[in-house]
Amino acid sequence: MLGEFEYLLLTAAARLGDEAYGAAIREEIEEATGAPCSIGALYTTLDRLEHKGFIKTWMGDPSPERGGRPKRMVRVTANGARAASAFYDAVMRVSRGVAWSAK
Amino acid sequence: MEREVTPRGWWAVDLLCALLERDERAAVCGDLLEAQASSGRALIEVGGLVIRRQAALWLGWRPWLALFTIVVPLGFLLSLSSRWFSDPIAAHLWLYVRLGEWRYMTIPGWRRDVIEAATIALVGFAALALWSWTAGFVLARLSRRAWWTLGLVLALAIVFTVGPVKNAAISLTATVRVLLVLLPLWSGLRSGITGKALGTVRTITLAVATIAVTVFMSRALEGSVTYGWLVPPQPGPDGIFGTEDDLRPLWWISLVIAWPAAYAFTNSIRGTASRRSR
Repeated sequence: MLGEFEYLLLTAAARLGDEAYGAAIREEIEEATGAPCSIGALYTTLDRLEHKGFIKTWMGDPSPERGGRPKRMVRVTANGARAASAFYDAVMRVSRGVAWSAK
Repeated sequence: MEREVTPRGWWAVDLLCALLERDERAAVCGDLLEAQASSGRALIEVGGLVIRRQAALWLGWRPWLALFTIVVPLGFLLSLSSRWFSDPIAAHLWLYVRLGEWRYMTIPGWRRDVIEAATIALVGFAALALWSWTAGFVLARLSRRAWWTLGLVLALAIVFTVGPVKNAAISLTATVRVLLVLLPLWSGLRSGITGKALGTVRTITLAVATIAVTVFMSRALEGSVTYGWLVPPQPGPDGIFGTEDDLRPLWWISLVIAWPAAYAFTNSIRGTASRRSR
């Protein structure tokens, strides 16, 4: 079963589609969680997900706003989509009949 | 290829990023620039990633092998030998400078003593430099990605295991440690992480030189562990291999300190053989 941060990363990458890369995924996660996302956690999780076969990464083109440095592009694989879906289903099932009020 | 631009004040971030793999370095620094992170924030973020990467390496066996076969034994031996080679030499130097005069060089006995002291000093210092360089080289080869943490631990072990003599009129320990141990160690590490072969002639020269100085200084090395003094080399094979009443039980210490040179030699031979077979 995926970890919670792994799920957040996979979902953010899936939403971003062709524009999924390190900084963009980080921004998506920070917006969704309202908490800062560390570069260390992000990149080590990217490696872990790639090792499990849930994503594929490659170096993209550099750009001036990145000081001429390339991006690490991310694409969710079919296995990754299945894992994220299983996690989502599990969360939905276990949450049945439970309402968490925002404090 | 687009030229990389680094903002002012990011020199510390760049330095820390150098500890990451090339692609990751570019991607991480690019992400931080795109997010317009301050240099302080970038330092914290990159530092966090560097620590995570290094910690993950220690889950493997290579850093542990390097730690227990090089860092611990050679850190200890280089610390002891750098202190106990340099301070007796400094004492001799102090005596010659304070009491000697150039005209004494016409006296054969004095001249012999000076030549002997100078030879032991030069060979001893060469030994320290060669042991340190080969240790750094092999450390980087055994664990290329953890080289800087292991190198740092080795450097700290060398500096702090044994301190210099207190209240000595003259002490060369700190100077010798910097110039003849830490700088060669750094040079060896940098050569080791490039992954390039040393070249047959260079490797043979290195191996022969290291073995020769180790044999010459083996007694001094054992003396620095047992007596805490530079025991000068004794003439003849008995001085090297020991006698019936002086078995030299610590003779194996010389193997411990010289094994990186043997590793570098066999590594280079293997590299040359595989290049020829292609």
